[in-house]
Amino acid sequence: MNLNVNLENMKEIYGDDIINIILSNIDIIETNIQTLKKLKFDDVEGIFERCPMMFMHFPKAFNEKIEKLIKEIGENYIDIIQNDISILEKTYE
Amino acid sequence: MIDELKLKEICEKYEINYERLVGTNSNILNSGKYEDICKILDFLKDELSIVSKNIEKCPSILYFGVENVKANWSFLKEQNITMSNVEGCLHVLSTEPKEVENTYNYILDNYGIRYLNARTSILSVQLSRIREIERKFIDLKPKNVLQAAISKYTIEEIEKMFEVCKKNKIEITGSVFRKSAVELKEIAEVCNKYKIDMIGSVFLKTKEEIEKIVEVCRKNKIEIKGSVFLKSAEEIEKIVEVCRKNKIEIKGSVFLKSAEEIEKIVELCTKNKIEITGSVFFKLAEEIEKIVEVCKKNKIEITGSVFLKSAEEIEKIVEVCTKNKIEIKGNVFNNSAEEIEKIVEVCRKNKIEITGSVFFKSAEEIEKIVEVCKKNKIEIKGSVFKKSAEEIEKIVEVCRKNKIEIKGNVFKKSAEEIEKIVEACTKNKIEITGSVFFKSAEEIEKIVEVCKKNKIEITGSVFNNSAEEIEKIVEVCRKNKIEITGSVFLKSAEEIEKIIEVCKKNKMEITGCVFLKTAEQIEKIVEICTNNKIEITGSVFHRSAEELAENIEFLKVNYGFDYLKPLIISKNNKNLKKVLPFLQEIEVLETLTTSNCILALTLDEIKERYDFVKNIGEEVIKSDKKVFNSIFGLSKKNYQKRVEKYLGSISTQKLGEEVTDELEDIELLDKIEKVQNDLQKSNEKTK
Repeated sequence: MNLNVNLENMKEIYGDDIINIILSNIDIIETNIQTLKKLKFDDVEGIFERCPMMFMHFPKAFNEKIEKLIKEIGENYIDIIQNDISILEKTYE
Repeated sequence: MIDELKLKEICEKYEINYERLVGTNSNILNSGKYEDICKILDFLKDELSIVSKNIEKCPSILYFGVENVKANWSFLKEQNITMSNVEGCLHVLSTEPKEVENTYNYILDNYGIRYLNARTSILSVQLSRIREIERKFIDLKPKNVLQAAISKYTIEEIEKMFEVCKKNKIEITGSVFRKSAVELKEIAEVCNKYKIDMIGSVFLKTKEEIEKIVEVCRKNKIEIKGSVFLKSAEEIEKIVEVCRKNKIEIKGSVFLKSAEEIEKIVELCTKNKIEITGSVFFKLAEEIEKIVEVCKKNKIEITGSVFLKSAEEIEKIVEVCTKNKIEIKGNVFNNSAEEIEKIVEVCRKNKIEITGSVFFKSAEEIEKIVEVCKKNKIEIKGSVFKKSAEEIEKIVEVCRKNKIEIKGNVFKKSAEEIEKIVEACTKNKIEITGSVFFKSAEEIEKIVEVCKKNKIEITGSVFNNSAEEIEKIVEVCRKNKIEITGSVFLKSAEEIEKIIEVCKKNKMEITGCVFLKTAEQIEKIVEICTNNKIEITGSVFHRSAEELAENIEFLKVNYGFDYLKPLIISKNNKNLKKVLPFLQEIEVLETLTTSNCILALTLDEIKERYDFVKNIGEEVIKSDKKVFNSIFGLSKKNYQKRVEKYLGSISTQKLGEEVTDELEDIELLDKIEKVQNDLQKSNEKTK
């Protein structure tokens, strides 16, 4: 997996431990990123940088939550979510 | 000849234990002379500061000419040999000086200083005997040549001993040279009968003694190996009794001591709150007392490794470490003070960080390792010091052949093991990354089998566990309907069960993050949140209990209880301390209590977006003051697009298009607002 994210920024926001959290959950993160890419999100890296913790959900739970959210938002879900990341943060909180 | 009383008088004067001295070798009473003994002790104690223990171990030095001792000491002092090894092997000083010099030079040139330091006794052996053994037994390993040379047996007897060893598949180690060929044969017979490994200390006993020991061990369910053969059957019985009484595990180093000594040691350790582990039994009670005293004086943590040294040696080590600003703990006690000085010198010369692992090796070995690493462009740190220079060269060769990055974990394995691991990984199409080197090739094969059986993707973290542990983890996860992936392999099955129990008890969703904490840590976090009336959501488990407490305190003191929200307290304290004052300065801090996604930006990013919002003539917060401007909620790419669009609209001045775009944006913002309201309602319903 090749992720183009600003780790320094992430360390500043979430603390140095974020690196360890990412490394320890890298296979879950990878699966969840693929899920978002399949759903045609074009700024998955931007979403990951803003809400890394939502990617720590086990893939099944992650899928269920995103599917439920998409159902609620409707067809325009990509624009709506990428224009307000807090929607995701609340969903996965 | 010297009278017992006179010798006792000398011992008292020079603080030497008479019983231990005569117990080691009573010949001193027949061969020692009052004046000679005093002269040598003056030299050893006053001039060289040799500790009494080393003299008690080697009484023969007291009845050989003082001139030989002085000449040999002067010669050796000028050489590279570690003098503390000579101090522990004083009999070499009684040897004819010319012989010592010849043997020293020969061993140095043909074997290396390492062998002289490891088997300093070889300096008391004539060079002609060493060379004869080399000629006669050409297949013998260098260290075995030296062991054979040091032994008391003739070349003919050694020949017979090797025949017995070959026939009975006895590995030739130091202790083999303690028995004659006939004795070795008898021991082999009894070991075969009771299936005892024919190594180490079994060769310290006779056939009959081994039989008795086996009987006692079987009766008391003690594993029959290694150190039990250091004691007689009767002594083992007593030791068992004392250990049971004091709840000490009956194995390993307890057999280094008598039952009485164990009792004393237990008493002393209890008094000083020292954990009764294996290494305390390497020392006598009185030595432990001295060590404790020195450690307390120098504020050294009293752990296992300090008991590898005497109190005097610890004092010397402390002095050297303090002088060189080395942290006094762990591995430093593997070395003498003298060796530490040499290591420091080599490390400074080669700009190597002086940390724990360099003390696994001697200064000479470090120099060789540095040479090999530089030649092969390997970073000189940590795990390389677990290997010798020769082993590193072999590892480099294997890694290059198999295109494996030469760093970190590869040095946990030998070149042969790496080859086998590569073979196992290639066969099973596993990427050869760092974590596979935690395991042997056989273990990898077993893990692959378990993973395939359970349809688990074979990624790095599975190699943190054994195949058996993976099976257990799978069972626990299935039972609790947890997906078997990622961080679950960071914990044992037992720990996972505990974590799940705590999560269920506190109605927490189980994410990958919870397995980065122990059940106790999770409980602590829950306690902190409950005490502060903070909702327990997933995000609070991203920080440690201590960090959360620090954030809560900071928020309570500076901003009030309204700010104690999961998505605020779970952020990095340093970032909060920068961002919150800025939000206060621009008079929007209050909005954080209802909308906090702005905290997923750094201060610089917030400032940049703040400037942009001002530039496009909008407000930082919406009219109801409950939500930040949606610019702060844009993903990175969408923010860039938005900025580009704005800049583009300014430069092209295509008013018509701009108006249309703005209208589109307004429609989108309306939709976002509607979704936010719906979500809020749905969340409230769920709660």
